[in-house]
Amino acid sequence: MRKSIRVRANVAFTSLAIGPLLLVGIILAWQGFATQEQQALDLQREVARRVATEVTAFFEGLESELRLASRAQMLPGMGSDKQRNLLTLLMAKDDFEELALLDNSGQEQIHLSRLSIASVDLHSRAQADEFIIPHTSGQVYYSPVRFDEASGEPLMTIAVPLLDVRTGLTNGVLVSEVRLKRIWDMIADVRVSPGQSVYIVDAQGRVVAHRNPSVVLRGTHFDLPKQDSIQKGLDSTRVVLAVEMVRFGKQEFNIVSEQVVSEALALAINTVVITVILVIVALVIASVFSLLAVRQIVRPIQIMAATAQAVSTGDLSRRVEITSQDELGVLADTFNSMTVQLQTLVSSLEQQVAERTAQLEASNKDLEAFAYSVSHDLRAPLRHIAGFVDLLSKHEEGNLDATSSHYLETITQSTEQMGRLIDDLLTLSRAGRTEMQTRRVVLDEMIRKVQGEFESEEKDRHITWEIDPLPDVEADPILLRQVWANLLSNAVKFTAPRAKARIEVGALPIDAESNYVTLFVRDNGVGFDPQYTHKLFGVFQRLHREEDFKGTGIGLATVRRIIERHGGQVWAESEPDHGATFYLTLRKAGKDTSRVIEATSREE
Amino acid sequence: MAGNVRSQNNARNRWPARICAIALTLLLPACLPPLPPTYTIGVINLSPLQETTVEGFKKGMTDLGYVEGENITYLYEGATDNIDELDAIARGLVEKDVDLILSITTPATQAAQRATAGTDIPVVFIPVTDPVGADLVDSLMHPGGNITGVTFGSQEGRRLEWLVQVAPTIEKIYVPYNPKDQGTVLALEVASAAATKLDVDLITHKVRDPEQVADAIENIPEKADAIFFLPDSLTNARVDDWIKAAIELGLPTSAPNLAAIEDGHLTAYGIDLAASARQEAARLADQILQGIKPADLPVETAEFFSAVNLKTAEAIGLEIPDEVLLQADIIIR
Repeated sequence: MRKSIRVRANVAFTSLAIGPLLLVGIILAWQGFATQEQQALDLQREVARRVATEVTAFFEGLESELRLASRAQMLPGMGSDKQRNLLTLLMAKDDFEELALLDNSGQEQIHLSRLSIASVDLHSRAQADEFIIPHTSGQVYYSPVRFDEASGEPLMTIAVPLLDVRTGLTNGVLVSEVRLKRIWDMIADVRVSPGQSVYIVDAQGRVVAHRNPSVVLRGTHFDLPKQDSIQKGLDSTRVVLAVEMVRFGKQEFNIVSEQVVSEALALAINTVVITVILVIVALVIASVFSLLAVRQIVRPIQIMAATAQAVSTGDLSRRVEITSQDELGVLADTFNSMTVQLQTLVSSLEQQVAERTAQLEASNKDLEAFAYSVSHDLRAPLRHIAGFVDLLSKHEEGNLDATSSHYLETITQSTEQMGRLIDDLLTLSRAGRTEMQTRRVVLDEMIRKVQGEFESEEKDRHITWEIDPLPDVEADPILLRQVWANLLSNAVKFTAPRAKARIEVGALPIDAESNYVTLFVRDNGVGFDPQYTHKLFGVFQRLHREEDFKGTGIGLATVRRIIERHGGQVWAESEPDHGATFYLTLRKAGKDTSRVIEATSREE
Repeated sequence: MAGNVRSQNNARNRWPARICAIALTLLLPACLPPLPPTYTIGVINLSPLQETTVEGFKKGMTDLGYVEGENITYLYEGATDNIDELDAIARGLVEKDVDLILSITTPATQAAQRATAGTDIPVVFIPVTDPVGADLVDSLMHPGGNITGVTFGSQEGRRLEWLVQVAPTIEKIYVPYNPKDQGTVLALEVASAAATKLDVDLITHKVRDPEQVADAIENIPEKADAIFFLPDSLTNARVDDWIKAAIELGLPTSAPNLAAIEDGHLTAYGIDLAASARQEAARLADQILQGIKPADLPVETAEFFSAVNLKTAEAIGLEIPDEVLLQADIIIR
């Protein structure tokens, strides 16, 4: 398919309008994304750092409270009741789940619990880390986070050694069970942007604090990323994420601040959305304008193309109806005047052809009349010659020498030959001149009759006839009979050298849509050289020598004239020594044509 | 051929209109704001004393953007004090196909559990003393069903201890309770265990209807040194009469909910239900309405606060040591 100018022009116009816009949009969006991603990461880092500071302050506060309490335990006159009261006051702050005061051997002296009532059974914790580590190192001990079995709330042990001021040795350990739930409130108070969330993950990847307690209580796990970037967040959506790690003793807390990408990069995404909308709007506007503009230019061209196509297919009356004053108008006018000239030329040519055809037909008729008269008039003198030669030979019978007899014989044969020539010429002439009387012809019967005549003639030959059932046709029966007689006699003649001759008459498969049927006569005779096919149906054209095959060279010319008068065609196919096939087409018989069974000649 | 060219022209001429139509179709939905969804929450409340809890919950929901009359409707016909009506109320709410049921107290939650069985209507409770023991959830961390909410753990032991700390001389403690309320019975078991450890005796007394409560108020045993009230809506419905009687007899009291300290109870230890409803319960309800399954929302444990009423202490002639007062979170002076 050819590409329309209109389409190409429209695409070019529209691309020109949209291309720069698209380019600017892409650059803006790309830059926007890069900048905003950096800004969003910075923001997350800042939030994470701020929360880290608060968490650190929280633990440092607890640690200093515990240190103060541990120092107070060493005050003189600090009896068991006062120690208990002090710890009870510490408990009242709700930061602690439990408090236990251990002596130098790790035995619990006092054990307070937020939930259990006062007289908790006292145990030895000599083997526990929270005793051993502060006791041996003199350092504060932080345990890994553990989750309460019943409530699922995270807890952490902080143990502070009681140091003797004079010896510097540990004199016991104050163990506390810290409720990390306290940090939840801290995180819940962090002012966050839409889609942002802050949470804390311990070294094992467990979420220990989140502004939504359900997340922690559920035992959520989060694999910390290696670096701050855009990646999958806690609930698997894409987020901008930053992590700030803080350490307490050997424990680490990772404060994570994340924001959903769609919120964090909202500005950049908006830029893209606006660009897309602008591009679409520009596309619509550019398309409309280019359609209108291109229409102005292309429409006359299309009209001219259509007119030219019409003219090229023969409609010379078409004119381009464009009246514009521009180059297209000039083109249209030129085209129209060209068409007018062409039309004039064509009509004068047609007239000349008609005149010449009439002249030709007239001279043809004269020629045919002449040939007929000559042939006809030649017969009488020829009969005289034949008659007198016959008389002469009878009169001089026995008196003539061998040479004279031979001369007379030769005259007789030549006269016969000339007689056949004249007969055939007359037949050919009649085939072109007699008035046609077409009727329905039952071919099957006609062919059988013609073939019967040859059977008696060629008794001493071995000929296999194969005649297929044939359709009825519409034709002049007398003329058609001559056609078959010629074709079959040719077949018999040219199969003479064959020990077993074979002659086939048939019809090609009938095409229901065509009014014609193609019939053929095929033989296995000597055939002919296909390069002379064009001469085959000419008058006096012979492809074989007279000595080999007798004939006047007029038969096939007669066949062609008769078939062409019937509106049909005739042709032949052959290869030397491989037989020949003659084809002819005839009009199929209609349903109501009267049947003609017997065909007789009107005239000898 | 000319006809073909013409028809192509016509087809092309329709393009601008088509492009406009496509652009409009794509852009229009983005311009129109989506209709906000509206929700209906049914409320079952067994305790007339807990209207503040319902109010707290509504405030919490408002904070989260659920404004009553705009995008949320509450089906709540007030508290009932008849435990036998709960099932009918719960069934009524299920028939109305509410989006969520807020149940207040253990019996109300159990009624909601029965009514919602076979449906997927979620239930948020506040407070239930022992949701695992009452067979409402599989575990606190993984509720597993259509129910979650706010519990306050096992506070009864600490509460009894707080009473004993405030009034160290008491030995025999009177405990009136409704045996039909399973939450109350569970709380009593915990309190009994604590009493043994604290070396005090509990004088329990069953009340099954308002008449029996009235009778109990009139006949507080003489040997009682204090009265310990369990989370029991039937008994606590007559809070004012109880306090009046206790002050006349000079008996220290302990209330199961913080709010009751304002009414004149000497001590209270428990959760701030209104605050908890506003915080935890509303947050759970919000998450459920946003599509998270209750089965995946762990039951939250509310914070405890200790409270003491110095006016009542003065009225009954009780001297409270400073070290004890220092431990109180709330002091009514």
